[in-house]
Amino acid sequence: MYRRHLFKLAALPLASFALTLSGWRPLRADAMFRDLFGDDRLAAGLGRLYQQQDPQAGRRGLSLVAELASIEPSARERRLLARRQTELAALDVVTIDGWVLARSEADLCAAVHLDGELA
Amino acid sequence: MIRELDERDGAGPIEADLCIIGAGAAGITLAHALRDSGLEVVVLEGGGLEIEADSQEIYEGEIVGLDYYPIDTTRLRYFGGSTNHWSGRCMKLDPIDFRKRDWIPHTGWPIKREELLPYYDRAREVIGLEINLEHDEFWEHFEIEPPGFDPAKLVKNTDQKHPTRFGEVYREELEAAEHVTVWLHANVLEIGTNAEASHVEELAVKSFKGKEVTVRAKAFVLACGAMENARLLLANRKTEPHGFGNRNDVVGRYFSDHAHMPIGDIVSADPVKLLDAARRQFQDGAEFIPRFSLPEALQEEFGVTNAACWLVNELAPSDGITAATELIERMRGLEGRPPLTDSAWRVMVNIDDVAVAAWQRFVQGKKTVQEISYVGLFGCTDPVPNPDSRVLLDEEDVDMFGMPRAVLDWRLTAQDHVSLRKLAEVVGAELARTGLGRLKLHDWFMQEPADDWMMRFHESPEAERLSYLDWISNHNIGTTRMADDPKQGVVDANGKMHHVDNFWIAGSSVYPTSGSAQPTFTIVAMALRLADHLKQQLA
Repeated sequence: MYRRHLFKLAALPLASFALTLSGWRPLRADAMFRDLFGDDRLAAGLGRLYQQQDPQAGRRGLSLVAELASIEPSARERRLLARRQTELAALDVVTIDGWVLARSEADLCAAVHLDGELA
Repeated sequence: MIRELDERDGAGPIEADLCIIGAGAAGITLAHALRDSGLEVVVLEGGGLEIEADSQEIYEGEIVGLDYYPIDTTRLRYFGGSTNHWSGRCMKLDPIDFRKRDWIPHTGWPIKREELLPYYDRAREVIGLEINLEHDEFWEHFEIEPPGFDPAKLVKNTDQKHPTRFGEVYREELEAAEHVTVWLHANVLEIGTNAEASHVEELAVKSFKGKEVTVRAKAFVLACGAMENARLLLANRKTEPHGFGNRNDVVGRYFSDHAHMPIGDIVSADPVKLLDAARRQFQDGAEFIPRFSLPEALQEEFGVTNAACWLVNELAPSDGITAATELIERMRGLEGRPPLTDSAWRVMVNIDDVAVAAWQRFVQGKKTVQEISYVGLFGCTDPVPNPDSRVLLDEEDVDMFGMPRAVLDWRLTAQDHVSLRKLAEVVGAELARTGLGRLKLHDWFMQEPADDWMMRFHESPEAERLSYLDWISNHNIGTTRMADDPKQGVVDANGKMHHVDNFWIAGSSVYPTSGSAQPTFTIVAMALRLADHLKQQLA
């Protein structure tokens, strides 16, 4: 249950990915893009890779989840998007498995991965 | 006039004020600029007016470094040179390309970009570039909404594709030129100097049919391209044992080319919007390609080169149009098509596309509507100057005149890879920030930076999937680089060979660095600058 809740939070900043993918009708590159971020296992997969690169990533992601849990649910997405935009503007990005992600996006992926390990 | 060496009467030497070796972009530009200067100009072209096997065979050689296309196919050895097959992309070098950059070894030109700017304007006329677009002007000119990239992160620019065939465009002018004589099939075999190798006295020239001629001039310009310039100098060892002009072991070194290749895929919710912001445009027969690079401050901060990137895309018919085609083919009795109901359903679901396509095809007579099926990021290096990347001689293999063939040992560095990676990461961040898309870099590109990183591309699935995209630009640069210090370069700031009072080199072989701009526009600008210099020197 907690894991599902966690993923929902993780999915928020990745909403643009999901939106992106839903609008994408690839003919040749479909295997690469299909359901990449519409599936928590894939988010966890990215999180696992990132956790290997940066062992603190999952902890940061869980802290972010806790921070979000403390604010009004309707404000969570806005908060995450603002944070992501700030990070992107500051080039505070990490590249995991080729995807260029804002750090908080990657941290949340790592949190999804950690939650799976803990479960 | 243009004449065949074999048809020349008389046994005496050919004499002139200036002898230009090579009739490619640099040589023809020089001849064009000097035709009314009062100087008697001779141009020696190894090939004829059309491509010929004998001449092209001279360019065969070995490749021992990174993979490269066969070097007799990357260059053309006849009147017009490699402009006979160039793609025509033109762009000025950036200000940073001329700078000495402490974070990149062996950088810095001995001339300033400002000095070249008036010659770029004249080069536009020589090439026939009617529209001049730089930086944001592309978006203004075509009235396109630019991508909202932060100018502190990414610099926008444009290169223009206009493949002027110099041999075709300037043939008539040079045929009519009173004081310019182009000799065809005139292969330079020896550069004859005084005992100190400080003055060139004459050239030994020979045709494929065996006609031998001596050419004497007050001044000489070598303009055969970076590989052949190096080969000719290295092979002339009568007065200097390591090759003419090579007393400091610089000739042949610092060879570079723009490695460029697909480096990532872009996922976008609205690929039309993405491409509209950065798609190539066409006008009056020219193609304009928007591109992006890091601003100088970020290059310095990251310790990277002036690499560039642009978008590539593929188009494919929409599924509805494909289904309609299948339906028609099935009705015609062709086998192997999907079931009728399947095709019909897909036509119904995509009836809007099908209706538009039918209208365009049958009423307007246009091609079938296509939709974007792929968008990728294409990266282009600004090669790090590398003395170990070089052209050498093959002492065991000679051409039909007995001259050693060229060996190409092309190399890149890990810094080239790192530079493209940093650029790609910034593009990825800006695509995400502006909501235009998300970037996934290819697996081969994400491996640890190493000098042989280019080889990983060749083994990647993308190299096969996107094989129609070239990975080498055929931009031969370096080998006789320009520097104030004779130990660092072969020629000085005017293109004159160090220690020699009457021998100049033209073309991209003199560039100390390459930038990520295609070299021909600068070749022409530099040749025009050299023409002005020679007018003063020979007046």
